Amino acid sequence: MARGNIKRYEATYAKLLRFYPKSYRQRFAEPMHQMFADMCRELDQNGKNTRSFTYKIYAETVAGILTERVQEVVMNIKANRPKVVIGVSLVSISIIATAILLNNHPTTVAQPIQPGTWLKQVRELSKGKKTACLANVSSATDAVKRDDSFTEFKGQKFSTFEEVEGGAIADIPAGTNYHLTINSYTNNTVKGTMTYDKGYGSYNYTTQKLPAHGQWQLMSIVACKALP
Amino acid sequence: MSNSKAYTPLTPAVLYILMALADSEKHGYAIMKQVEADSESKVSMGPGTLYGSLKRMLEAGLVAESEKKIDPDMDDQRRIYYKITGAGKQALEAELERYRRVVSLTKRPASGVTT
Repeated sequence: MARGNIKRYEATYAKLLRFYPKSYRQRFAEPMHQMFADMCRELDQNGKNTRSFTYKIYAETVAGILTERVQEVVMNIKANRPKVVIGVSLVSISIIATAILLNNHPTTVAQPIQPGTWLKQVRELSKGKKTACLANVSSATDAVKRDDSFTEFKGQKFSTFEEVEGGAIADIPAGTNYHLTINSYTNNTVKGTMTYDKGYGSYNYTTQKLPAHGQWQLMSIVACKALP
Repeated sequence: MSNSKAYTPLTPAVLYILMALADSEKHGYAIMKQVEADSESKVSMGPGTLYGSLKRMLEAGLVAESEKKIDPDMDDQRRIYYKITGAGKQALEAELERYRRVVSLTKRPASGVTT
């Protein structure tokens, strides 16, 4: 992992620590931050991916913050301090909101979008994500052509695979041309990119051939940036 | 602590932290590594779990903060060390005794059971 990533994870973690109650923060925020940095460094030295680790730690931290905040509320109820209770409750709500925002952090990979989603939703869900479009691999294309079955519609031949891809996004007008690339084809799973004409954009897709009846089913679509 | 049994049964996190501190004082990261080794990687503690537990253990008098110093095996940062207290040792011993009793119960033939 790049050193820059560790710094970014540490900065996010430091922000999260601010949500602990003041007394807790004053006593433990520094050693907690130190320990988080130590753990990141160790994973980095062992060449392990720290992304899933950091998300796990963030989730654990949010749970810890809520625990400490609830304890604070209970103590304040016992001490008959309702204003403090309301204040602490508001802070807890903001913690949950922060956790949701962290989940949508722009450094995360694009989320898979289900087939049949509307174009506006696809673009919205993929906003700010940096997934690159997958490059074409001709041997994979050949494999699909050999393996695929063709159907006829109004005198034109289509592969089942193409039909599935053509119906990927719900509101792209019928008849809009698209260019399909196939990046990989392994174990009946095909991954590649489809680019629609008329500025409808490029999308990475994953599609699988169902073992039961041999039909292709689109599993996910993710908006991507075109390769230079 | 006058009655060490008041804290038993201990939570797994507290038990492992006490065991990690039983032989020597340690800082947070070293405690985490020791817990990982003692549990054969079955228990992994992030900073939130570790320091949340330490806070409650400090309040209960099971552990105490030691001085802030540099770990020569790591970097040049000063770290807070934690040590087990007398009450912590008693609570650990009481918990281990409780485990021994449970194990001995499982070895005893069950009465009234016919095979």
